[in-house]
Amino acid sequence: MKTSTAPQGVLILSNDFLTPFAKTSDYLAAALERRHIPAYVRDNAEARLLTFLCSEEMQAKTPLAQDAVCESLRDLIEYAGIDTVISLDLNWYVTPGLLVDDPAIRAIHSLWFDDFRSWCTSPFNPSFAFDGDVFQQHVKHPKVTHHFYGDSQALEAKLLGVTRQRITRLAAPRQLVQNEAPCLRTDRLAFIGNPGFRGPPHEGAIKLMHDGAEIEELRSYCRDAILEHPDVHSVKWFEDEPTVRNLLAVALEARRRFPYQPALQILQLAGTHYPRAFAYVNEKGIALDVAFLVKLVNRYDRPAFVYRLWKRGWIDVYSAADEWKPYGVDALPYVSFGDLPAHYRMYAAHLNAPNAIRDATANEKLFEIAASGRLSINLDSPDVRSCYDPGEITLVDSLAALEAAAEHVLRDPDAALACGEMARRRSVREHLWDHRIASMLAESA
Amino acid sequence: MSDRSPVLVLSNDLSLAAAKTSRHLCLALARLGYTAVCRDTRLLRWAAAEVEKESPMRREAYETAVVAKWNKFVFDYGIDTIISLDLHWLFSSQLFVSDDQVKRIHSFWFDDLRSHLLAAPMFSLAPRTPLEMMNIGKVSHHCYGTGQAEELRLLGVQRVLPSALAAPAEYLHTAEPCTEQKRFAFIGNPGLASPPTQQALAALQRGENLVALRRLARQEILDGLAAIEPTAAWVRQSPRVVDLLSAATELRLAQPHTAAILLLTQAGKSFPDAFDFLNRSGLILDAALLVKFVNRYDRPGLVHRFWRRGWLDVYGTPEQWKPYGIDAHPTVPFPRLASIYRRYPAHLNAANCARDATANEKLFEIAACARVSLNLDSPDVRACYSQEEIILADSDEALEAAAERFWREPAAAIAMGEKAHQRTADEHLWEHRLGRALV
Repeated sequence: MKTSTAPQGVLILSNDFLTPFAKTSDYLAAALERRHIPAYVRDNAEARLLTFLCSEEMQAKTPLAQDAVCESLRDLIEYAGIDTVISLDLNWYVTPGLLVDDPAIRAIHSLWFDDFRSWCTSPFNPSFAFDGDVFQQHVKHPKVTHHFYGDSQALEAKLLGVTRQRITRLAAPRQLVQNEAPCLRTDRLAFIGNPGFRGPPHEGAIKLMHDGAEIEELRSYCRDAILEHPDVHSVKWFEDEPTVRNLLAVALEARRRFPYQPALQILQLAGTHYPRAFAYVNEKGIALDVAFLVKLVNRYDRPAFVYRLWKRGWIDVYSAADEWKPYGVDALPYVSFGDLPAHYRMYAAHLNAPNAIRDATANEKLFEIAASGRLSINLDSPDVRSCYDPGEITLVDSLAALEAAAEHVLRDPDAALACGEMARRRSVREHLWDHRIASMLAESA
Repeated sequence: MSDRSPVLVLSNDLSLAAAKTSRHLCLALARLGYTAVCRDTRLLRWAAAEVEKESPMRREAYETAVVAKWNKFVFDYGIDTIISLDLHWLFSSQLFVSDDQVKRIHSFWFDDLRSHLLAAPMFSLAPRTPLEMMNIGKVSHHCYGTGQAEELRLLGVQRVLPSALAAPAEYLHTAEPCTEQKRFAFIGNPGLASPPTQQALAALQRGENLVALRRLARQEILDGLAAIEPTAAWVRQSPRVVDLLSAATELRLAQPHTAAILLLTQAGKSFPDAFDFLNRSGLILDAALLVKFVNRYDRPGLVHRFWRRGWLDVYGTPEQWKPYGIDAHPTVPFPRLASIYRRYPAHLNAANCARDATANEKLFEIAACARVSLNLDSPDVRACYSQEEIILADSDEALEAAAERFWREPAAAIAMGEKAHQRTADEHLWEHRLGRALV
């Protein structure tokens, strides 16, 4: 229930160009409304389009456009009594003069769904041009708390100077725990999602997958491929400062051995052996780009996970058919948000694997599958292990173990369903958006 | 768990009332078992207008980008129904109306047709006309006033459905005490943003009644016809427009709650040339607005009458009330509305004269908060509540007398408010409206 220290009104800032943000924004709003806290979801896609237009023919309009963006929210903030902002898109609150400087706003919770590099390298980030100091002032403003869903993601941000931060895991919407649709498919598992990294896969990696290679071999392959087939940027770095190659080689090997250690931390440690290279990386402002290459050691984790069961004919894969095709996987059509609950419930068990580029493995599907009362089979990682125990979910550390776990599900789907029920109970206790909102607001109070 | 497809509620934050109502619609939809998502149009409208003005060669590319974003949104959510509080959303040849996944669009008219048509559409409608867009088969038009609905029908809009406004269920459960037993409140603006004439102000200060104020308003309309543009141009082209409007406004005096466009049509039988001129020149809605202005001092007149008695706290935009000699408290933010309703035993309620719809949202909100509203009697309001639940007075003097009774006996007002509360819970929540619309 609403307490005296509860916010009067919450503005949730989304970016509908990325519909998963939009979906989560709406789940957060519903969780707030259940606490009788009025919530308003507003989208910044149009503001971003406007930024684009202002960078082209309408450049002279930039100040007016910025005013329009600010005004579009200022009235709502005043009349809806908004005092708290939950931002799923940094662009909004780093717009100078918008939220951070508004005395009505007491707290801004910035939920990081993306990695720092993606944000910094996306076109038209931030919405309107300003110097680096302004950005730093906004990001480090005492009203702003940064929430990271992965331990490594948080550490990456800390290394980059983001101080007011905490771990806030992702979660499931409450309505999933009320879904009692039957389990119709016990002869197959499901995976809902795309392959992760969008670039075309290496032929060698595909061949390894087809030949039944283990995940370790694929990570080793990636380690070598990054060095043997460097992209144009890497070539330039290697030319400028040859020891960067050595730095990267050490970091890639470390990631292969410790696949869930933060890439940036690995890079920093490797930098102690190659100080000149590390200084070059820092000076050039390419630390996040190099760290990204380190993360790519894991790029085939998800495709390999899916392909292993696909080859056995044990899995239905949904969404992004074009992206799955190069892996030899025929995906079923995209599942709309409205149909997700039924699809989760339709199968006794689901595969789950993180997107390699995020350094955060406990993704939303982990919680959504569990809240749906279904078993998820995951790669064993600290993030995932901190949310659910074995018995609630399955944790495997190899493709062979994955295959064995899947076979067990197919032989004994009732056992999988029983695990799913345990996971659902845990979700009800700990892993709904309502829990995250409660702890966020408790902190603000 | 619902198997109902998600509903998209489209608002426009430029009208803050729409932002409030759209949130209440979403909450009501959730209680009905729908997943509802709300999005706002304000910035999009601004940007579309700027692109049109500054960089017309980018218009098509901009529209394509906007449409692509929305098509993806609708697809990813699996949305098949749209509730629009802002018609502009429908006005793109590619957006929503052409999307096969969107099966139904419910357009809730919070504004009048003229205001809507005067605002530039977001994107070019070509090759369709506005009327063709409005009449696309999957669009239903929900009007909250009988006059408003009549206006749409007469202008050729199809699938016009009466759909009264309503209250949010959340207001039923507010519990703040009535602390201002000897005062009443009015929450709102004067209606028209333009200040009153000196003559009208003097009449208000003399305490003239509504009959006199309407006569005065009518005379101001007729005096301005030949003197002020653009109506002077009408008169130059068709001098009998003066007679037509004189007759229509005379009818409005006798029938202050009959749709202005109906009165104009009726008067047009006696002055067919003038009516034909207005019709062919696309000026019918402008002329109807003038007829509506007969009532322009209804709301300020009622507020002033209570203000002079020292009974009334007015909440609204202080700058708009100042020309009427009224010191208003600032606009009430949404989270405080219910507690302000509860603070007083009774609230003055008066319609915006431009709308031809008298059962406004406040009527239902006051009732949901178990407080009595003091209204002028009109068919729209009478259709929603009885005389046991609200005050329906046929004159401002009668309204003042009713208020005086409550001033002496606030408990009677509270008791009446309780009845209005029950009626609202039974019939006048957003759930009731949406349940019917989405069948």
